[in-house]
Amino acid sequence: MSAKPPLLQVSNLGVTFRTEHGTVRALQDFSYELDAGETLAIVGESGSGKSVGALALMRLINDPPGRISDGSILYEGRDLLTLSEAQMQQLRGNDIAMIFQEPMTSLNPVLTVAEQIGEAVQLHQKVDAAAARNRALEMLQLVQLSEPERRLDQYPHELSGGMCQRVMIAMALACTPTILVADEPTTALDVTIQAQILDLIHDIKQRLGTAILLITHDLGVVAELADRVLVIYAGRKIEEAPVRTLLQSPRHPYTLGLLGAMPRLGATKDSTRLTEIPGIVPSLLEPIAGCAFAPRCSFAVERCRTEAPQLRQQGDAKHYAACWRSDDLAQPTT
Amino acid sequence: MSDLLTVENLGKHFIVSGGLFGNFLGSARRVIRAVDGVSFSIAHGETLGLVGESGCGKSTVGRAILRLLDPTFGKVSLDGRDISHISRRALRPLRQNLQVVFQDPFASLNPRRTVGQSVAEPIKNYGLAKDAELRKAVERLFMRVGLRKDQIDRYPHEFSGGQRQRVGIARALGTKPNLIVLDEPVSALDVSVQAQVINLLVDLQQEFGLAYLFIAHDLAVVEHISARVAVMYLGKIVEIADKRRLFANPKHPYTKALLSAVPSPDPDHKKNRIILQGDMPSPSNPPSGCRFRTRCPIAKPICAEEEPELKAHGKHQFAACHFAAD
Repeated sequence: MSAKPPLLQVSNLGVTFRTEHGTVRALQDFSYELDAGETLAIVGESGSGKSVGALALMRLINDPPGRISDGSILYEGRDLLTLSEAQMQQLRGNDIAMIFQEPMTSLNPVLTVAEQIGEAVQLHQKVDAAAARNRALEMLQLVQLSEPERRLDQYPHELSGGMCQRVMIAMALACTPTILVADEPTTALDVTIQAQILDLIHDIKQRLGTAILLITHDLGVVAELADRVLVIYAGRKIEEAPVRTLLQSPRHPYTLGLLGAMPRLGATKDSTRLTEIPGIVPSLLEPIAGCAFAPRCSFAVERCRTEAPQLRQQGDAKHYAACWRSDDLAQPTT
Repeated sequence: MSDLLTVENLGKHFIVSGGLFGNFLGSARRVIRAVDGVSFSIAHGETLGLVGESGCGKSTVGRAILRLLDPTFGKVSLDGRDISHISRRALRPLRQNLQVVFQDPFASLNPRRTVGQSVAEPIKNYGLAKDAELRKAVERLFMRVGLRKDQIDRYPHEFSGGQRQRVGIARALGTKPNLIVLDEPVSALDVSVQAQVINLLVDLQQEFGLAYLFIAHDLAVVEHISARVAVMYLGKIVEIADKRRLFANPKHPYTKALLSAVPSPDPDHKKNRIILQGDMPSPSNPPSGCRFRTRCPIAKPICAEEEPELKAHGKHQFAACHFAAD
C-alpha cells in the first residue's frame, strides 16, 4: 500500500489575501495527504485558515483579493493549480464535491430540489432531464430524506435545516465524487439533527467509500468521523496524527489546550475549572517570529519566541507536532 | 433559602397574520405557542440552566422574564414581587436587580459609543454614581472582567468577540444585580475563548452571590455551569432536575436522546445513540397530548390523548412523561 501515491497530495500550500491593512498570510507551508476512502479532519478556530485550505483545494479563492502564492495540489497525479478554469470546472462537483455550513443559504432558493440536483448531474454527465430527475430521486433515497418523491418538487424554503443539509449532501454525491469536502457540515444544526447527519455521513463513508476532508472546530465531531486529524493554528499546521492518538496524547500545547477548554458531558466534578487558553489568536498581517502560539502558551520558553519549530515526528509513526517542547508533553497529564 | 425568581405557568403566544395575500384569501391567523405554561424557580446565588433546541422557546422564556416581551399568561416574581403585571414605570427600579447578557455582544453594544459609555449607562441611569466616581466604577468593572483600564474609551469594533462579551458582562454587573439572564452567552465564541468567559462567570457568581438563568443549547456547557437544569421542548419543560441527576439518570426520553446525541471527543466513549426521526413540529400546531410523541421512540396511544404533567421521580427530579418511571 505504501507504493501507491495518495489520492490527494497538497504540498507547501500558501494563500495570501490583500486587505487595506496589508497582506494577510492566511495559510503558510500547508501540506497534507488524503488517501482514497479516508476521512481527514482539519481542526482549527475562527480565522485559523481551515476553510481557506478547503477553498484553495477547490480553486475557489477569489483572486483578487486572495491568491494561492505557493505550493502544489496533486490530485491523481495532476497539479490542480496548473489546470485551466474550464478543466477545473470539469473536476469540481464531479471528482471533488463540497458541502457547506449553512445549508439554508447554500441552496439556490428559486430551484426545486430536483432541479438543483439534476443541474449538477446534467453538467457532468450526458443525460436527459428525465434521467437527471431519476438520479435526483435515487440520491434523495440515498440520503434518507423522508418522502423523497414529494421533496423533488419542493423549494428550499419548504424544508427544514436538516433536510436542506441532506439535499446538499445528495447534490454533492450525485456525480459520485472521490473526495467530499465538508466545511462545518453540522455546525448550524441542532444537536439531534446533527446526530442524524453525522450518522448519514458515516453511512455514506461505508457504502460509497468516498474520501472526506472534514473542516471543523468541534473535536466531538472529529472523534465521530475522522481517521486522521490535522490541527491548524494561525495559518500553519501544528499537529497531525491518527484520531485516537491526537485526542488521547496530543503533543502540541494548543491541541492540549483545546481539549482542556472543552466542557465535557458527564465529566462533572465540582469546582473543576476549564483550562483557559489566555489571549487571542495573533494577527496574520505581520510575520510572526518564533512559534505563533508562544504568547498564549504555558509551556513556552525563550527559544519558542525566536525560532519557529518545524513539524517533527513523535512517538507514533504518523504523529507530527511543531513544538520545541513536545517531548515534555509526552508524559500523560492525568 | 428563599427563591429569588419564581416563574409560574408562564406563557407567550405570538399571533401571526396570514400576510397581505393571506388576509385577502381569508387564511386564518395562526397562534404560535412559543412558551406554553412553564414553571420553575431560582434560588439566591443559584444557576439554573435552560436547554433545548432552536425554536423550543428557551430564549422567549428569558425575554418574558425580563419583560422585553409581555407574557401572554402566567406570573413572574422577583424576590416575592410580581414583575409580570406591573407597569413599566413600576418595573424600572426593580430592573436594577435583573440584568441580561445576550449571545451576540457586537449586536448588543451601540457601535457609536465607547464601550466605557455603554458600561456606564445603567449605573448612571440608576443614579448609583456620577462623574469621577462613575469613571472609577467603570474602571473597577473593566478590571474585574479582565479588560484593561485604557480600553474604556475604545469602540466595540476594536474588540474581539470574547472581549466584547466581557464588556457585556461588565455592563450587566454595574447595577449590582441579584439575577442575570444569560442568553447563549458563549455560543458565538471559539472554544478557547469560551472557556475564559465561562470561568469568569463562575468566579463572578461566587464573588457577588449572583443567580444565573443560563440559556443555551450546548449541553456540556450547561452541565458545567449549572446547579439545576430544565430541558424544554416545543414550549414546555419536559424535565427539570439537579444537574447530577439529570445528566447521570435522565428520565424523559427527549432528555435521553438529547444527551446521547452530543458527540464526545473521547474515542473510547460508548455510543448508545438514540437518533430521533424528523424535526420538531411547528409550535403553531403542536401535537395533541404529549408534544414529543411524534418523535418519541417509546410513544404509546395514551401519549396522543393525555398530556403528561411534570411528576416527581425521586428527590429534585421532575419529568413530564407517562412512561418516565420505566
